[in-house]
Amino acid sequence: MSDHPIVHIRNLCYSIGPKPILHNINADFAAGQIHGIVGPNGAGKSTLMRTICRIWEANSGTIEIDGREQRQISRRDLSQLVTLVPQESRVDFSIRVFDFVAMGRHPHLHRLQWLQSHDLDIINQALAVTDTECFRDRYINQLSGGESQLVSIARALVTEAPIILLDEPTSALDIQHKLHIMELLSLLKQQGKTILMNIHDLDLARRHCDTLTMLRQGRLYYQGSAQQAFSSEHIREVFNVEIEESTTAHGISLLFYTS
Amino acid sequence: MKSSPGWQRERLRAVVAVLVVIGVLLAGMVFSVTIGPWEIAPAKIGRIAIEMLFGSAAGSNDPATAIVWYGRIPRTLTGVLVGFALGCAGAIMQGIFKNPMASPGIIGTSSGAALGAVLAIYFGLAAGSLYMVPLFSVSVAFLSLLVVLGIATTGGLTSRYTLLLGGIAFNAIFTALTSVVIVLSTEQFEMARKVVSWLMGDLNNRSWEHVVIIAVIALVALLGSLLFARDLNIIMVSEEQARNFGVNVGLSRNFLLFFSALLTGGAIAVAGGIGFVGLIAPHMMRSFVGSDNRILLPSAGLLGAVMVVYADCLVRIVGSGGLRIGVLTALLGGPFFLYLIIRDRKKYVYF
Repeated sequence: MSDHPIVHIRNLCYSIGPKPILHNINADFAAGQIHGIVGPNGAGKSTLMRTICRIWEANSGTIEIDGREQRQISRRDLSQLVTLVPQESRVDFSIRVFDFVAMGRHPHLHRLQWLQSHDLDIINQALAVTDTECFRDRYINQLSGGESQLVSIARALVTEAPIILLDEPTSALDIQHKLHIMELLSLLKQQGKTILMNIHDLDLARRHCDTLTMLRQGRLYYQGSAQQAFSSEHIREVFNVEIEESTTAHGISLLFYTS
Repeated sequence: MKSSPGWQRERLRAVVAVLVVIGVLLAGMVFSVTIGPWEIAPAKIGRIAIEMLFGSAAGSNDPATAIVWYGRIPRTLTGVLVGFALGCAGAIMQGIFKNPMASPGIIGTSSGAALGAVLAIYFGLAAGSLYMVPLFSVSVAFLSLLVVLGIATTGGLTSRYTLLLGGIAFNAIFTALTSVVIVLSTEQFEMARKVVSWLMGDLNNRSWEHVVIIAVIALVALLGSLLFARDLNIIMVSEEQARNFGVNVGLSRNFLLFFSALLTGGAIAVAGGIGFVGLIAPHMMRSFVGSDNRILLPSAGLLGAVMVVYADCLVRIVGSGGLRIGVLTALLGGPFFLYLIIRDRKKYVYF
């Protein structure tokens, strides 16, 4: 683990028309850690991710990726540094899982270049890591929510980007699949990836994230260790609910919310 | 490895499908040049083609030479290239609009191209130069595509729902304007007849100039769009994801739109209104060769060529002047489109 911030955000503002979505965000994300971003719906979590990988252009402020100002990096180079795993990929065409995952090699290939054996190795490795080899020949629109999320993560791995952004990777999944995804993310962290993820499940965030960033109404409310983030004051301020922690007879700690 | 059994089977199917389409196309071309009031044996047609190609029959007075070389062969080749252009344009549009039901006819590009061409005919520009009709139809087609896309796009996302509604509106507007031009032109009977017959799709009296125009357009647009075909593979999943993988979405999309307008406008300029080829050809080929646009674009073009060449043959055999290619493709394509809608109606409930 290193404390060197691989993503360094200063005075970031983003607005759609007159409506500000992100307001003067200052945040740092260290390399090789799992960073959770939490906040109520509409707090600007997804927007923050999309400005980091420059799907949307920030109005003002700077984002440094690995020490370089993001806007100075070409789109192609940037997509080899940071990649987004979207919440859902709904496609109307029949695309095989293999071809879908292979799209991650796009930034590495020249305009007329087809996949080389080196690319095939990387794709197969990503399918193996995410445990999705078995449905490589299936169509992407036939997969369940959990399977489709794994395939999207495989596609992100194929870009070889050291920073992976995940937009609510677990929100549509059952508990087993949630845990599976979190285990996979821990494994990726061990391999040196930096992971930023939007997450609604605070319990999951507390268990698996190294740091937590709390957003409220487009502003940064808190950034720091995940353990300290869960004071009842923070939760009340950000989510407008009361939090109560209790430990069961079996020693499992649970969070309860009341309005 | 990539060569899993499923993948190999799929590749074999794609190769067989393309070979079959090429074979059917060649057979159709041979059949097409033998059709006509004059019966000329295929062997003689072959001999004439070879002699004219290699210059040994220059100055020949045989009427069969004129019929074959200046009539049937250019007609057939125009049909092949027009079908190719329409199939290819449809495949590009389905990718850009992320919708397997998009096609030049549905989102108003064809009617825009038709309006442009009719305007060129009405203002007498067509008489001056053979290139004015293609120029006008391509320009109006491209303009209509940009406007429809502009209307359907907010915040970088294109709504399919708005797109189809916009297409309906533009189809209505362009068709109405075309009708105005037709009504205005009825004072000159010959021009009105020309406009109306052309609108229904027509390959009569196509010359080598027509072949050259559509050949150049088809070649330029095909090669150009192949440069962006891998970008299109990701754009058709999501524009956001395309940007995430380093695609310059605006640039790629505008080039692809321009090429699809070029193909649609060019095809309509030389052959008139031939509908549904751009919808059906990519749709059918997709199930054989998959959704990789680097393979789909040329394959859909080949199937489009097959459709137009056979429609032209059928029109000449059973049509006896009354049936037009555009009418025939609509008569066959309309029910096919209905079939697609009924088959997929559950899928499109939510849009």
